[in-house]
Amino acid sequence: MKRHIKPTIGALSLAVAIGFSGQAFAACATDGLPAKLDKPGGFPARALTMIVPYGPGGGSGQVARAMAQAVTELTGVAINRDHKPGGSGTVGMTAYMAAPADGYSVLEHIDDASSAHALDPSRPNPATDLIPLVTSQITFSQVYIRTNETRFKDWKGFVDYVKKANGKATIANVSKEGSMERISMRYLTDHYGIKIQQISFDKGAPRYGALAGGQVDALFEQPGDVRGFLDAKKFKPILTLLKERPAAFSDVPSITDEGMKFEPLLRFRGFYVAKGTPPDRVKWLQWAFQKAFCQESYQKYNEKKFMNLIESYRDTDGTKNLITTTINQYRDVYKQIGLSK
Amino acid sequence: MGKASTRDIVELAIWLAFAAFLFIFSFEFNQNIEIYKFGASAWPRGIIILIVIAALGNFYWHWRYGTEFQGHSIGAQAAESDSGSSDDDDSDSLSYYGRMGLILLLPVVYATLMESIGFYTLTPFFIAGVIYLLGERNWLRILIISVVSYIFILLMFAKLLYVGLPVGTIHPFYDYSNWLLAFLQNN
Amino acid sequence: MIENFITGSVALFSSPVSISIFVAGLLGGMLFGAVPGVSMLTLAAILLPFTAHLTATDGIMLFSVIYCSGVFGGAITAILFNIPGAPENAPTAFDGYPMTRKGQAGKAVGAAVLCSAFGGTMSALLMMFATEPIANWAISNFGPPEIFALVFFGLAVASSVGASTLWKGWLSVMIGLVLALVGLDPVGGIERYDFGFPYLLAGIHFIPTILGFFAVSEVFIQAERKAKGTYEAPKVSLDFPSFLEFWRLKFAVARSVCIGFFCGILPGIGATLAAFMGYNEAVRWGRDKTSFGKGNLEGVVSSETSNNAATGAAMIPLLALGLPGGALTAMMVGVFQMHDMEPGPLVFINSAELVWVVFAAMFWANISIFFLGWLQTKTVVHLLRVPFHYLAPVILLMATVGAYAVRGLTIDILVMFLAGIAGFFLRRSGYAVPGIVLGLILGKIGEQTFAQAMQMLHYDVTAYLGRPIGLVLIAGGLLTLIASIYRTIVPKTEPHRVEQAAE
Repeated sequence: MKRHIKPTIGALSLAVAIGFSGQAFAACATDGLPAKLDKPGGFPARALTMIVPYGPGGGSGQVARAMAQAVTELTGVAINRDHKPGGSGTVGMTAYMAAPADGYSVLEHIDDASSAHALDPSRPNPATDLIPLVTSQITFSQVYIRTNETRFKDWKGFVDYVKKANGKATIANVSKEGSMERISMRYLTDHYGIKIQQISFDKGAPRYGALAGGQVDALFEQPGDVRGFLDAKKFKPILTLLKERPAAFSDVPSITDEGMKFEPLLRFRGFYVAKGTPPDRVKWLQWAFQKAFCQESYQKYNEKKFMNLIESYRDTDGTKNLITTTINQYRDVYKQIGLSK
Repeated sequence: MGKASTRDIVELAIWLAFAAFLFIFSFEFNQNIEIYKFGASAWPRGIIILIVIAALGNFYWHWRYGTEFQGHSIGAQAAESDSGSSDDDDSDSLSYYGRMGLILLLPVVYATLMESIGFYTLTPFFIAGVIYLLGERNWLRILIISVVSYIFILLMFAKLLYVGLPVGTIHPFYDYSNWLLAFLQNN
Repeated sequence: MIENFITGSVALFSSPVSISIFVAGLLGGMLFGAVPGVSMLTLAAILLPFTAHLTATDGIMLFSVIYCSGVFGGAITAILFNIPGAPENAPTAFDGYPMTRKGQAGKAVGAAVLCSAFGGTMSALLMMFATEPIANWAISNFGPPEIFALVFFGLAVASSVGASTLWKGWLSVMIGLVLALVGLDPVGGIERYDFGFPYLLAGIHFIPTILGFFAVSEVFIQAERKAKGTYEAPKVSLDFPSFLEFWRLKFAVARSVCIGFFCGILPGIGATLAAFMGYNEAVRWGRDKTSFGKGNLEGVVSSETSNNAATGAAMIPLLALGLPGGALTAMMVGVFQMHDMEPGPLVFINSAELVWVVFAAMFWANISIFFLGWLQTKTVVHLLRVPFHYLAPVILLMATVGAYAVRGLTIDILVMFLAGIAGFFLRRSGYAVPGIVLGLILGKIGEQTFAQAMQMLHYDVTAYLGRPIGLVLIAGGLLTLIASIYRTIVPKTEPHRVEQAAE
């Protein structure tokens, strides 16, 4: 039983939410915020705890470290990171929801929380059950092949190869039923009516090793995670899952160039505080995390991780919009493929 | 029934019941996976089949040879020599079973309360409890050793290494933990 | 190569920061390895967030030094308390602990010092020669089908270790495999055996399980002895083995270096399999097989030489492929990633200097173990003099912190204590605790690589015929299984009773 996904109008508003930028930002998004904000009632009087529902090495662990460092530089308030990995972010979220809502614990989370809520409404909705402080990383996916690949050179060649291989071509990704990766792959295969064997690797290194060593034909990933391989000219992107080409990948076709019409799904990471936290404390935390986004150390970090290729910043309302449109898009797709609970 | 004892039959029954339990619960996740033909339950069910085979093999072994140990299995962590007598050691059985029961129970209670009450509040009581259950009856000594061990652990993990340990989630305990941590880290 | 080694050594010893990190890692690994209840893994978990403040080179170097000294330090608790500091030290306890009960703790620890230093140094040398060529070879020849074949082989071997019968050995491995099922399935992220508890979705981690099975259950067993009045403080002695005793074991040492190195290269199971295989072979080649498990020095020597010989080898898949050989090397991947680096073939191109500092540090760490180990033995043996009911709560608390520090989940503390209770009963049942641990560690990676292999080979098992390395490993595993089934069904002689091993 094969279900095709039609791009839905409801998701189109997401296109508006994606900003583009070719070069590094001369002016930063939160330059307008005050350089200092008085601590409301002495808050915070001690170190904050940042719960990170992933391990210290991955994308979330790294962004949590960079953001915590930037907030500390800005405010002098120490932040202890508390990594609680497991269950695709579920475990850390559960632990966070149990902590007192006094503003001393904040949460890092990614778009997986949105898709998890779309799949199972009993999971917290990050836009309404939490208060977003800032979204500080937004990125897109690409399809990569080995630079020394001889069977195909570009996206068109790859699609032909996949067609000929008749279901036997392989692509490495990380996947969970209904995940951003799985849905994006479905958009691609539905468009061409092709079949490709996806192979799931939950850890980065083996996933990249599989492509480098010729165990798989292609890789689905975000550019910041494979920057080392790109800089070393081991991998090359053949398709960018965005409607327009970002300047850094101006020679790589976008989905529009290849005639695809779906709404690309984004990977985003941000910081949250519990609902029920005293409003003056929320205000201070919003200021600290949004202002910290423009700290030099944080901007350098984002640049290194290719997080400056599209606009990575969203404030509280911007994040709420991003999450809501994302949840709606996933919900539509899940309904079409019969995954909803 | 060959050389198998009642104990061997019970052992087989437990294994088969365990396998049945796992099998029944495997229907909860008997889901297809889009990219993987075998789905989420094939591997667990393979293991369940192997458990049944191994349990029957184990029973067959005991049926044929009794409870003898197998000669060539190496590094056998055979039973502690004094454990054989534990089942029928009745000299002081009530207090023995009571005490062992408490020794096994105490850490479980400690771990269960950890999330809500927190490491910093629970630990001194846990130390005192362990020392008491291990036979120390001098209250002054229990107090001193508990306090010394508690301070040692606090200095090592909260002061020297900054290891984040559970602070608890409910009120007086959460506040005590945070006060203690702030006190230790600022002084 | 020699030039690189000298450059690396100079870089290591010319910076005061690097020297202090080197010394701290050395002493820390030994100390945490040697304090019952915690292990080098605890130290590594505690230090992981701090490596962010170090340079990438210093961070990786610190972990590699902890790895060398910790694998040695873990032997000390295995010998003195029957608590292996890490799974790779488990076979050391088989003969080491009986030696302690016989009053030969000093001799066993002394042998462990010498063998660890020797095995580790040899391995470090081989590592320097072999890593780069192997990296180039393995990257295209060792994919998921091969890794699954390797895991299968490892499980087949594991089932023959430690239990009273082979059937019980298998059932032990099966318990481990079942524990590995809890949480999300590795292909589709589908929730399995979580019974509605969200924390169980994180799965059962092997570190709390190991701490429970070994450290906590040992405390319970000693507590039981106290409750029954049969507790006896272990005798303490410092009686080092003579040169002659070692010379007699030269073949065992040489054999174990080879076994350790080749097992260590295998990603995913490295040092643990190495120690078990080293011990296995010692029994197979031993003149008096019945003396093993009762305090045979050769058992300690084989296990400790093998697992230290695996340390250097385990760095090969880590650096060459980004595949960790065990828990500690897995944490090293974390250190790399905290510095925005991925271990893998590129490390040799982009960070050759880092690699050689690490190689040099591991070489010198093993040399240092030889000297510091003797000193440490003399101090650590005194731990045995502390009355047990004062030591017990500290062991339990260290283990609590160790279990929690890995993932910050309180359920891991509960898992640890439940594993402790299970271990307390299992140890007298003829089931093998090391088998359970191996099943748990290999279960997840086994299922994942099996699924990947099936997807890559399009569900066609005969495709293994075109992958000779995988084929050999699968065949080896099958032969091991068939041979052991044959032996249980058709024993040559009536089985004889193995003497009680633990006492």
